[in-house]
Amino acid sequence: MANPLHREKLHHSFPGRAKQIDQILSFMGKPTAPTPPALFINGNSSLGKTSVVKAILSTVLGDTSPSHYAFLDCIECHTPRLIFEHAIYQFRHPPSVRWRYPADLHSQQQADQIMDGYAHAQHTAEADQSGSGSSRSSSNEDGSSPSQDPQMSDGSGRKDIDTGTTLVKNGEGRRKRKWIQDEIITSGPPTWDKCENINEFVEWCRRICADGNDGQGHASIHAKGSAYSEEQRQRKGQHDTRYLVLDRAERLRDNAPTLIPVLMRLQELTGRNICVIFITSIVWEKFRSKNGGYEPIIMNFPQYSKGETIAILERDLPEGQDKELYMRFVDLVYNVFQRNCKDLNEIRHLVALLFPLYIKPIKEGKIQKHEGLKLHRHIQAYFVEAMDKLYLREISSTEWVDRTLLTSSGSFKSKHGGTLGESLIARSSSEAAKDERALMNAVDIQNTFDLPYFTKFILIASFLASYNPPRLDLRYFAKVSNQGGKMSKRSKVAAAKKHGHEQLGTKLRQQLLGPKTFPIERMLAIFYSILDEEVEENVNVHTQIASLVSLRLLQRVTPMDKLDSIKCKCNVSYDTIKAIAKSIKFDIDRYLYDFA
Amino acid sequence: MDEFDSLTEAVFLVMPRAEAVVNRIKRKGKRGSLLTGGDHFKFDGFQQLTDVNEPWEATEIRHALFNKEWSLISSRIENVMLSMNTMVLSAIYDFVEKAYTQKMTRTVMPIQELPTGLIFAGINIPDHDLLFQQLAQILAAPTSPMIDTELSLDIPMETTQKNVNNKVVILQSKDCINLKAALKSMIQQFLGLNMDGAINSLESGLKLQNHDMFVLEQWYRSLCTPQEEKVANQQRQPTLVVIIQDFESFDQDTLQDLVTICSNYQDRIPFVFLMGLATSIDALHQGLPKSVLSLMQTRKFQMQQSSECLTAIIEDLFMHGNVSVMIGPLPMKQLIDQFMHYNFSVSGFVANLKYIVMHHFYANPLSILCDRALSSQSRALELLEVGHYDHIRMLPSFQRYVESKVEVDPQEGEMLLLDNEFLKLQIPDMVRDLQEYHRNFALVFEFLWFLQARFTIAILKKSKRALYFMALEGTLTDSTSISFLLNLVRKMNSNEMMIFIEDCLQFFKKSSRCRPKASVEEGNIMDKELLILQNIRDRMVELLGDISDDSVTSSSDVEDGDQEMKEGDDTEQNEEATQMKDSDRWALANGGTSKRVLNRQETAGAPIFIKKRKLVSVKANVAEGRQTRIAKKTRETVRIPKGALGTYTVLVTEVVDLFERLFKTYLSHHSIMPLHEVFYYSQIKIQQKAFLPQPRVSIQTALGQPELYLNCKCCQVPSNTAAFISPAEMVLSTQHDTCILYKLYVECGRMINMYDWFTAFGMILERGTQSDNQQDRSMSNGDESNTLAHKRSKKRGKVSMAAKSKSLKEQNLDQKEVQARFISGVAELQFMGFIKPTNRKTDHVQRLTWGNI
Ligand SMILES: Nc1ncnc2c1ncn2[C@@H]1O[C@H](COP(=O)(O)OP(=O)(O)OP(=O)(O)O)[C@@H](O)[C@H]1O
Ligand SMILES: [Mg+2]
Repeated sequence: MANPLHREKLHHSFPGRAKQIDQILSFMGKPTAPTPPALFINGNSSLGKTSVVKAILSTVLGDTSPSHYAFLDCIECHTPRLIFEHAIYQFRHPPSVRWRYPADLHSQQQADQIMDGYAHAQHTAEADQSGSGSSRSSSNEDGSSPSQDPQMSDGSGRKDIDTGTTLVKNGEGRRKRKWIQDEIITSGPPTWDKCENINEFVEWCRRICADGNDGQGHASIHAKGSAYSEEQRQRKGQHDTRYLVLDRAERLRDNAPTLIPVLMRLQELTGRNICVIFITSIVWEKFRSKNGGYEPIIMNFPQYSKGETIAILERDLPEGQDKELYMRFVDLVYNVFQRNCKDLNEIRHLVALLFPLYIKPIKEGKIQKHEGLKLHRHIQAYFVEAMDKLYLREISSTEWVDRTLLTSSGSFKSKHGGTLGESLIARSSSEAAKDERALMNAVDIQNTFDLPYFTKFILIASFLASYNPPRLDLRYFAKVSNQGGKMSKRSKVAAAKKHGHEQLGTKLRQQLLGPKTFPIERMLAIFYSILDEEVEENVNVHTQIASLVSLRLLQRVTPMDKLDSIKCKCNVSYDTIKAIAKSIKFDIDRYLYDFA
Repeated sequence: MDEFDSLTEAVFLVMPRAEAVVNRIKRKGKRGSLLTGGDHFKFDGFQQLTDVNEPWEATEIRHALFNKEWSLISSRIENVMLSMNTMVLSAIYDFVEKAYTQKMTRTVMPIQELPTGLIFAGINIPDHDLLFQQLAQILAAPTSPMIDTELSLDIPMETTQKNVNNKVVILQSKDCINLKAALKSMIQQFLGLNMDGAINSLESGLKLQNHDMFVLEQWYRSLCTPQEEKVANQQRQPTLVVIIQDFESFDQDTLQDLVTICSNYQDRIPFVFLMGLATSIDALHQGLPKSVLSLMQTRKFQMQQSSECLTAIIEDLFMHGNVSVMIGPLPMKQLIDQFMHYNFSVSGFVANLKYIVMHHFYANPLSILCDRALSSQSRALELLEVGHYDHIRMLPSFQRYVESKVEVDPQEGEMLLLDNEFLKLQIPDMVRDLQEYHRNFALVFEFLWFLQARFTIAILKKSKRALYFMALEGTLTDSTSISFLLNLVRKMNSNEMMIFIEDCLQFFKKSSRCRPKASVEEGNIMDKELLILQNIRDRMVELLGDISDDSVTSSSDVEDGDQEMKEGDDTEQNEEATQMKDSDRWALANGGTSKRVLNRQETAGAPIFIKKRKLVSVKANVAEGRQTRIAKKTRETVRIPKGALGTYTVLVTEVVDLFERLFKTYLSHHSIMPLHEVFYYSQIKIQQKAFLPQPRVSIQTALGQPELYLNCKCCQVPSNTAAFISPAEMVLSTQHDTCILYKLYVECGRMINMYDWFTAFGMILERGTQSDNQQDRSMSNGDESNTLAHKRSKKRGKVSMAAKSKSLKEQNLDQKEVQARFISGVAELQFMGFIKPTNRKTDHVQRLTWGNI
């Protein structure tokens, strides 16, 4: 079918996806041509699945019959009901009227109406007249612009409100009474249709496909008989294929597992020309239900090659920049990062943030455009930083921009070995803290946090309990050793240490295995043992444990409803605990067994 | 009391009946008060203090004073908290404002990122409620908080272009257990903002589900439409701000989806996220996967550290003496310790403080005098009873005061002790003196801080809180901090000295305490001190003016920024000044021990925290280098005008002496002030009980020594028992079953044999019945033993209730009853966590607690 113009346009806007676009277009065929019931598109993230499908549908159908497809995101539509209702809504209302909901939701007017039944009835009667009147007049006047909502052209805002709300109500009332004969697609203000289960949905689909003619139907009670909609009816085919697109369909498996097989055979169930397109990042095998079912047509979006990637990146060329220079830079970035980062979006992100830095010396006149090697060397330092921080989003794009604008390239310490973070520490601590910029920068490096004094000990005790084997607790923490006499902490620790060193480096070290769970009682015993001062047991210790859990520094492994023998895990890295221990002058290394 | 005989309820709240209260009042109140019963609660439980025969009106005054005081304190605290964070809050406000208007960074990015502010708000999550509510209010307001507070005067109204109100919602993890709930909460809050309470019209009108983003989108569109019609379309559309209050507690999957959805909607609805992080950025990276992180454009905001907030609060309330009730050293320590050791909770601190203030007014009859505005006309003075005067005379501070009075004016001393009317007249003066003391203290303390801030030597530098605490303890005036500072002053060179004195003058003039215009007669002591200082300044100006007239000066760099080494000034300063300085040093060195050297040793060799060591050693090096230079210079300074030198030294000494005297007199301990007990709260026991509860200790006491709680006669330890058995170890059959079991339990090992336990328990009960019977026989008084049995049965609950009659009649206890009581007791112990069932040994339970706290 494909209109060659459309095809051309799509090919142009998605370099490297020509084959897939052609496939999908031929899959769709002519508007009325029956399609296979389901298409399954998969591929890794940011390979253009969503944008390609969306672009195809909106180019091919957008102008002529925009309500012939519904595009749903399964994260947003997380229940079957949401899927149904959103789909129906999109099928029934072309995008131009979707938001033409004149009912002023926040008007006091409406609240009053709801409160006062009598007034409401009166309003309805009034509005009915005015509503139909206005719509008639508007369809006469504004016939040339069909998407214009009749209600909006009405004069005063207040009247708008009245007519709008009551129209909806009125429409609903009627529809309830004559459910069967009711019209499917309205041209009046959009209505929302309730659809709770799959049966209703199938029913809706049947009626949408049978009677539907693109959303400008003859249907609305008020617009009935308008010359305009008659026209529409004749112009539009009734049996065009409808497309239901489900993006991020992998979510369906959790949210509505039973729905998948039904949607696969929606065409069969409705007996109408309807096609479901699944877009997902996982393979079909993971969708397939055990007892078999319909197999969709599967289509894979492959990874882009280097040439394709660069062609896509070329489209991002910032305005007014030298194309040759930009392409050289893109090539460089691709070569540097491609091994670590296949994600197209990430590369685009990096390019967008690094390019201004690349051309900065040129702008400043320090380096000439053609001195590729010099430029390369100049940008190299930033690459390291970007790899470290930017890619991992330790620095967000705004912070990056702020920072690179702030520091002239010369003072960028990363060149000379020190990391960006360090240079910032030095800077922000030396500068006056009053300066707001400095304040923000100081935050940039915020990686630690302060805890109350005893809470730090609790956390340390938990760390020890998580990484030390319980059998050695006596060695490390007992107040009295088994020789009877009091052993000094030092010698006790030394003894334990010796024991530890023998086995250091074993493969099954707890350090490598991650934290073990421990009972709270054991942790508390360690806590009281490592504290120098005598602390009476009190409630605060326990509330602090709870607060550590809610801070996710401790992880509670027993379920919340179990109050007895609670077990936890320490969820803190060695570096963090080390910093904490240092802040209270506690030498944690001496208590850690088999740790390096 | 049959109404309390319930199978299901264990505890009843019994409100005092109206008539009873009235009766009591009538009986006790001398003035035949007209109060009715409900008034018991009108005063929040404030009661007449009978030991001083307090009239009702005095109670009322105490109650009113408490309310006044507390509302003052809490409003001050609120202000402090708000002002602490103004800067960050306005930064956040800007961030939200600019998130969608500032295109600079946004257009660059190929993928639109969701603007996300990360707010590091400290680890105390319960405190965040207030903070985020404030934040929400500020963000919803049309103007920035900064503009509100400071700039409103400078900036004309038209420049602060009227913005659209942003919409703000706060999501808390407890409302967002899953995606549906989170969306629902968000949508409902957004819509609720716009129309008070009538959200449902939407659902009923459209039959939409309340967790459908469609609702929000529609609402948002309707929100924008009318405005575009009215105003020119330059008008910015409102931004929707979603505050995730407690990021760490959120279900991470929910949050992930929420962010993804909102980021999808970004082109239609301008969302800004603000996430409250209690720990560090790591939480964000741990909680959200890369794919979601890359949707967000984060910016970090650090809220004020809560320990700094605490200092600011203490400073505002107590150091500046803005409130009447002051906190003595012990409770203060306890307050601060609890904060620093356990929770960093400002709201906890506030609660604690409230408790203190309440207790102060609740139990102390003299607290009716705890009023800053107390004057001789005050009603409170009229209400003083004999008891009050006695109380006053028992105050140690008052006794000391009288003693000092006796030495000067024996007659007055006697009057103070004997004549109530005379004492009454004196009270307002004493209170005024105390207020005066506080005001002077505040100023001089501030001055001390100012002085310390001037010298940036790291060691010996104390935090404001620490200094204040020393003052409360009374160790500040003799502390090394002050003498060290004064030494530093002494070692300034003349130029610095001039600047310094000028600054000091400015400092005093700026403070509201010193109004230079006001006449001295007003009796403001600080004014006098100021005059003295001014005088010194004038003389010094004169002197130095003379000298500089003598020789040509060409100084340019007076300040070299290196303030920390005042004594070792270096660089090429103006010659004249150098001469002065060095000569002055000579004078010092001649005058006595070479304090400078001593000082330097202190600087270099004093025990120093590891952190600071590096810094100091660097300084020491510098100092050495300077010494040689100084030595060189001293050789040059031969031509000192001897006369001027002497005068100058005198002046410096005068300055230092003045400061020393200031500190000595005005920072002295509050205990020298008579009646200070009325204003200073100094108990800690009751506060500890309430805020450092020790449940295990209480339970163990209750089980070990139930008589302490029950206060019953039957469990009194017989007087003939040997002294070496403590009451806790006595097992009495009259005690509660659980107590008996507990006492037996304490003697057991790791595994407790149930049968042995049961037998022991039975035996003790047996013993009880025997002795009961003996008593029966010996007394032959039915009533007596009846009450006894009744009492016991009440304690033992229903089981023994039923058995009451039996135990009287039958010699032997019913084995079934014993068993039932045993089982219920054991169940209770298990419930309290003393034992737990085990599979290791049949018929045994495991003992869980050790050691009797
Ligand atoms: N071939 C292409 N040409 C131009 N732009 C592309 C191409 N492929 C992807 N993009 C761009 O990359 C971005 C991400 O694409 P898109 O969201 O469609 O990926 P996706 O496959 O749906 O990813 P996900 O699995 O994460 O949903 C879009 O902005 C899109 O415009
Ligand atoms: Mg996608």
